[in-house]
Formats: sequence, C-alpha cells, structure tokens
Amino acid sequence: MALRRHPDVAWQRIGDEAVLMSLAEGRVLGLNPVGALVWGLVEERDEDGLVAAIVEGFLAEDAQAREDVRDFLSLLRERRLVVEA
Amino acid sequence: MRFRAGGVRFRVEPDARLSPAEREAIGRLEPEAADDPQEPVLIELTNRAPWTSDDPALFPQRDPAVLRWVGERLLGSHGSFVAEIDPFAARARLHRRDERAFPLEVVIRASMMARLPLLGGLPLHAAGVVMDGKGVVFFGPSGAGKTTVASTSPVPVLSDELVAVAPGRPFDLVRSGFWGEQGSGRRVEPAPLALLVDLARGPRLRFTALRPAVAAGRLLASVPVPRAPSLWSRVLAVGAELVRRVPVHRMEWALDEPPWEGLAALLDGLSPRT
Repeated sequence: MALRRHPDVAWQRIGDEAVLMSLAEGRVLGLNPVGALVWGLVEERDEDGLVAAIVEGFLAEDAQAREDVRDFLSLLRERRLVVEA
Repeated sequence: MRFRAGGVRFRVEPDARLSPAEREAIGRLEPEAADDPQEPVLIELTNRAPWTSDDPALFPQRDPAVLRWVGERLLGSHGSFVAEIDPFAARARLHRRDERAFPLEVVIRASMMARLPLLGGLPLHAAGVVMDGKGVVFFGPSGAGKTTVASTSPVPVLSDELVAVAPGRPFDLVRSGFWGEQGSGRRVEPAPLALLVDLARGPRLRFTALRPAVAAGRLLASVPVPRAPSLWSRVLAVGAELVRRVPVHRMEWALDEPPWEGLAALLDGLSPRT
C-alpha cells in the first residue's frame, strides 16, 4: 500500500539528498540519496516498487534494498512523517 | 519612520504616534539606504485591536508575548498589545496599550522572522562574528557554546543570540536588531557570509565538513520561523541554497583551546561554492 506524506511535513531536495521538517513536532531529518529516492517516490509506489527503484538506482541487492526500504518506512511512520493513503 | 532590521526594510506609520521609547528602540536599528529597492513591511499603529478574543491566556501580563500562526497570518498578543502580521502582503497592524517599546519590538522581530524567508534570507538562532571582513555563524543546540564563543571573540560580534542571513554576496550576515547584541555601542557592518559552524563540545578543536543534507538538517533546527507550511517551503528552499553556496563545518571545541586561530586558518583555505 502506498503512503502519503504528512501534510505538516515540508521538504526540499538538496542535490541527490533531501531534508524534511516536521512542522508539528519541530524536528528536522536529513536524508541520504537512498532515503531521498524513497521519499520522492513514497506516494507513487508500494514497497515492491520502492525496492525496485533502489535496486535500479543504486545497483543494490534485492534483499538488502528491501531491508533498507522497510527500515526507512518504519522510521517515517514512527516519526509521523507519512500517513497511510 | 523607516529602518531595516535583519535585512528587512520597515516603515512604521503614523510617525506621530510613536512614543519616545519606541523612537529610541528604532534608533538602535539600521537606517535604510536612500535608494533601497526592497518593499518595506508597513507596520500600522492602530486605535483598535486588529482581532479580539475572550481567552485570557492569549493576553499574559508577563513576557513572552503569544505568537500564533492562524489563516496565513501571525497573530501576536500580550497584556500590552494586539497585533496581526501578514508577511506575504508585507503589512502588520499593531494596537498597543502602553508606551513601552516592547510591543513594537516584538512585532518588528516577528515580522522580520516571517518575512525574511520570502526575501531569500533566514533568521538564525545563532551567534555571528566578522573575521577579517568575512561573516561566520555559530549555530547549535542549547549548551553548545554560542554565547561562550561570542563572549571570548577577539573579532567584532554581531550577536550572541540572533543573526540574519540576507541575500547579498551571495548571502550577507547582518545584525538582527535588538537581541543578543554586545553593548560595545559599536555597530558591526554586514559582511559576506563565508562559513557556517555547527558547534559541539569536544576534547579538542576539530573541524569536519558536513554533507549538504546533514548541514541543512542541523542548520534548520536553528531557524526561528513560525511553523507554517507556506513559510517553511521557502525556508527549506533558502536553506538548501545556503548550504550549497556556503561551507558548513562542524566544530568540536573545548574551553581551554580557543578556536580562533584554527577558524582563521580554515577560513583562509575556503573558497566560496559556485
């Protein structure tokens, strides 16, 4: 299931990285290129689609990419940076 | 009266309603240049409150004032004043109930913080100094040493609490206005911003260049702009440009090892990012 970025999150790409600001909680999060790629696609793709994007974009192993995606989505949910679509 | 605070141009009207305390406070700010092209924020001193509420919590008798972002406006209130600030329209209305400078100072500061990102700059909860004509900002969490660095500085200090980064060469470090400025009575001229320093305590002096996203993440935690999506979309855009154009280094330092020689050497070795 795809997610939606929380409406109280402002974000900005910085080169191939990104920075997020949770306006509700006043917390800032800097994203590395993998995180920035997932964040950019999080509203368009489900977990399989995000894994495929990482495998393609970073020549990563499928299993490692899936673990990275799951960890990152857990972080986004935990910090309330995304909501279920 | 016309003036600048934190790189933002202001006009207060009607001039005749300003109290002596307010005039004195404005006199401590920067005069505007004769050919200043920036649209000023108009602060209108009004007879009536721009908004009302029955909630006594919105009108405390002690500082600080209450500032709330409501409907794309910043609403300010205190026992001594009621204000409404529209940073997008560059207008504010202030109804004050006494002649102290405090209400006007709050409105100027809040207007500057909300307006500056729309002009391509940022207010920073940070210390700022000028080293050999180059602006250096020290930011970091409470306790990292902003005030200590400023108080031990052998070079001119703009502020130990609040500075402004304004669009310029490509960014200029400027005084914010009334807050955290040392009482030398000497004004420090704006300087091209050459270095942003993320302060941290450490066993010895050490500098580490930060990746742009990490730098932006740490810097943006020091930006005192109201948490409104419409303002923060601009804050993030300006912040991204700032860390792209100006080097950001983490500085670990200890009280028994003054950082100034190391900073001077670092500045000498830096070239502006293009």
